[in-house]
Amino acid sequence: MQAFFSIFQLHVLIPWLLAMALGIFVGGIPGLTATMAVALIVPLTYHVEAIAGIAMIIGVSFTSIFAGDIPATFLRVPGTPASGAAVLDGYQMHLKGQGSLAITLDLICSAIGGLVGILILIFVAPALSRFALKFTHFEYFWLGVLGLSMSAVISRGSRIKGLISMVLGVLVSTIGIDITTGYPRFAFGNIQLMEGIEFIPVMIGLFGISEVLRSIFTMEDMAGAVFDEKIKLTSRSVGKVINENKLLITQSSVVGTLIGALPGAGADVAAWVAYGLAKRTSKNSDQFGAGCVEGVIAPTSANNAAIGGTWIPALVFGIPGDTITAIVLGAMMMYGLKPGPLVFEGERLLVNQIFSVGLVSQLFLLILGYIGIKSFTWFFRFPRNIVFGGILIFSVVGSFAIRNNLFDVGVVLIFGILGFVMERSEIPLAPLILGLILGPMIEENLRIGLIKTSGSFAAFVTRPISVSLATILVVMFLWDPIKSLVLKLVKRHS
Amino acid sequence: MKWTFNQEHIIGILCIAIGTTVLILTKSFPGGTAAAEISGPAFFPNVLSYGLIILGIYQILSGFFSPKAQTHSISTIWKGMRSKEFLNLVIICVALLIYILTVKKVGFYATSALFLGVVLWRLGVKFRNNLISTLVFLAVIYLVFSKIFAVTLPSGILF
Repeated sequence: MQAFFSIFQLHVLIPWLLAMALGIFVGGIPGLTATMAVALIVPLTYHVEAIAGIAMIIGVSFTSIFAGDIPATFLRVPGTPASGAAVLDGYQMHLKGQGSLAITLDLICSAIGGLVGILILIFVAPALSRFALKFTHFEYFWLGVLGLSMSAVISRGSRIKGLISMVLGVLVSTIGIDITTGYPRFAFGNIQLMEGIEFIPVMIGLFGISEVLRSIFTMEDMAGAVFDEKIKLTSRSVGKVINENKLLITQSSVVGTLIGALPGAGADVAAWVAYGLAKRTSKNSDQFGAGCVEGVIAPTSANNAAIGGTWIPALVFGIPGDTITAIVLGAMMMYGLKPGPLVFEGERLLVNQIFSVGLVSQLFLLILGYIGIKSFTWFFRFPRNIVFGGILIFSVVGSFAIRNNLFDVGVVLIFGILGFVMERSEIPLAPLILGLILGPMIEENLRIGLIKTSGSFAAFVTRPISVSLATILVVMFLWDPIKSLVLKLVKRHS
Repeated sequence: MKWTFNQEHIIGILCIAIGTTVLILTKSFPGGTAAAEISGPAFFPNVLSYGLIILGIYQILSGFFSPKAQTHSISTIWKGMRSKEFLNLVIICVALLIYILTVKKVGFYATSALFLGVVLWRLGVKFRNNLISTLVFLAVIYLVFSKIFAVTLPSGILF
């Protein structure tokens, strides 16, 4: 209870609520993602207490994911990638004159989904952490590789391009002093490079600056997205719909949490999977896509539930579930906290504070979401080009403020251009960030493991947990070829 | 079948080039003490470089044999980019570079005002809105970073 009440202090509450309000604003503007919202506030979190900083990040992720559904419902433009599935039926409901019902259901389901995700986190994470205590260097190596590979496999488009992005990220993580020998790698005598590449400027560049650069080419297309309608929130019939679909809400929230817990799969994947599952299990499957409430309930419950799910591998193993938790892990390390099974013993108070923040954020989401919906018309009158100009200057100042260092601003520029080129070439960005975060963990555990065994790789593939993780990895990569081979054989025999 | 030089080839060549460069650079790293130099600083970057080279070769091959890749000619990267917009992209990047190089000498607020003005101008914001937005953003930065979080921003010869 001490942890629960400690989050209601003003120095935690004020930045937390302000960050959540920012999340509504950023998420509601098409083109600006939840990751970008988090990237924008991370530099600010370094100037507040650890729990206030983490509350800001958790809060902003919940509100920005929800707010992305507002333009998805009314303009058919997803505010964030996580709202892609919400467009289908939300917009159709709006066309049928049920837009207010759709967005009210959306808000309530987002809060319920978020709540379920956090509750699963609260019950699963501590139990899983006791199991994680059995892990040694060999298991952590495979876990890191598994987390990285999954991000490359799950990311949209070419799997090979995902792997290229991942390897590049890990290579960037090798720049700087080698932790084992103290030798400066790829530093070329530059002191800044010896300290290594900070992941926050890389992330601000990849997700913030590249988005601004990309927006230059879409500015005219987005100008057509205008909205001039008063939205009335309806409480009538919402209770009835929620009651009739409580099983679907539970199913979608649980699915969302599980998908979120897979490293690399975020809220967007969760929303699509939940939507697909709801369509398959519903009696009204033919109504999906034509504006049915189930098509709104499933993705909106799942995308916010996924946020709780992403925290499970992050807290228990130190493996980020998505780019947002990757940022959180980086931020926690800056605070001197090392996520992993021991955090549940050594930092019990902070872990409970994180759980409490997650739960209370759902209440704040309802309040701020309501205000966000009401002020939606104002959002869309705000010129996007001015917003992007603001993002650019805040990205620059934010990255400078981390270490009072202009080198980091240079990193922002370089990775901004790189991110822009990568997106044009259909190379996913998320594996690069995860590679940068997980690279040192993989290298450390691989090298220490090999030193322990005098260079033998046997221990990596003979210990029970190690071999299980390695098998999952192999199956993951061979799944598609094996599946198509089996299908071919079955077809030939039949 | 006629093969065209496409986007996949460029990605593959870049991967091989990066991988090879890393392998050349790590040659000057000190060796490790244990078997196969696993404790040395070059071990991990070398493993990654070999991986990147293999991925690069795969990418080049898929550029030849994948039907989808054949439609991704080099010009796909520039698809949808109009010359005016491309110019804006270059101007914004160059403005940011000049900003990084001059902010310490000139001063944060003066350089930022100029930088923001140029960016908003290239993003199509009209003069009056540009001026108001620049002033508002700088005021917010002053309040949040300088006053609330006490971040020391470069003062330079101006301000």
